Amino acid sequence: MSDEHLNWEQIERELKTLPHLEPRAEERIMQEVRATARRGARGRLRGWLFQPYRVTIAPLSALAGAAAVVMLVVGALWLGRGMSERGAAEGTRPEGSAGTQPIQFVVMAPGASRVSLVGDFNGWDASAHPLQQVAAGIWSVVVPLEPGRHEYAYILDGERWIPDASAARAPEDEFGISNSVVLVRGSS
Amino acid sequence: MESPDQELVRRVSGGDVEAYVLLVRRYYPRCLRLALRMLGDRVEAEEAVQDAFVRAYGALERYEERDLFAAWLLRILLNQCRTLGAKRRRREARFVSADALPEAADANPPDIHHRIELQRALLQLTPEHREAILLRYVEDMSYEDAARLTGVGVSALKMRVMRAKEQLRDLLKESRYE
Repeated sequence: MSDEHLNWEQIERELKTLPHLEPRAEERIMQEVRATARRGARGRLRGWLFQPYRVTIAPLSALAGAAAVVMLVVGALWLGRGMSERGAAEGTRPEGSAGTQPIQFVVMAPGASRVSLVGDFNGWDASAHPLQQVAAGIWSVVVPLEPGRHEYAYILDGERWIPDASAARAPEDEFGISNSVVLVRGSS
Repeated sequence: MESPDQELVRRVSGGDVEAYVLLVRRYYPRCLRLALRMLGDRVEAEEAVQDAFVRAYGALERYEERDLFAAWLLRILLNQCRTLGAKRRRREARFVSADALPEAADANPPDIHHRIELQRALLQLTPEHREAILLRYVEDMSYEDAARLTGVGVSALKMRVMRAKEQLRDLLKESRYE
């Protein structure tokens, strides 16, 4: 094309003039960004790609665990809400004091390469209770818990916090996050 | 020394939300310039830029480091401009106010007249032609980069730029640019 009749350099120079950044514009954007960050924390707990399930059963044996996993896969079944006292006597009790109950946590997290359980019982320490993958996309860990109410969540791949969709939820904390709740009965 | 974009993005992604303000300061003027030229309205341009920054923040986990952050941000901004522009249709072709020009504060009255004339001409181009010429000559992007950003082929983009220049030339006849 021909540009002889168009003083293109002048137009280009004109168009390239940069406006200034006004402080209030910067502040407006950052307010929205901070709000988005807060909403994002909540959203992580609501818009899950993964559908987690929790079961609390006695860790009778690897076979029993596998059977539970199969049941989860085929029907995502709720297998019980607390460990039975009889089961505890039959199972291999993991480490913990005499007053604790072994609680098995199972979550479906296809695509995750590692999963951790965090809660008030381990100081929300992501390294305290890593889950083992017991079947494709099915992760499990058994944790001895004191009787009472405990809040917890799962962390996928070290960064994505998810609640347990099948469990009760605690009220939102100061960050707008609602954790899952497990109630552990005392042994009789 | 300023932190590279990628380092800032990593900090923000790692939870340091306040580090994002450094990216805002770095790219706001450039984004506002593009939005003003695309939309011809300061209020809408500022809204588009703000939305683009917020959306970019929300989508940071999908940002891939092999892309330049600036190009990624501009792509989001152009999408915002397209959305806003589609709502307004061609109203902008008729009305251009001085405050829609980046340099309005520094310009004397005759300059403002010519600059409005240029902006009006720019707004009479189709949005596709307008963004093509702005990316190529204002953002100084290569045809390849601009094509990638707009999602059209290089040949199509070259054609758009050529057509845009021709139309601008016609529209600016008898102006000081001729």
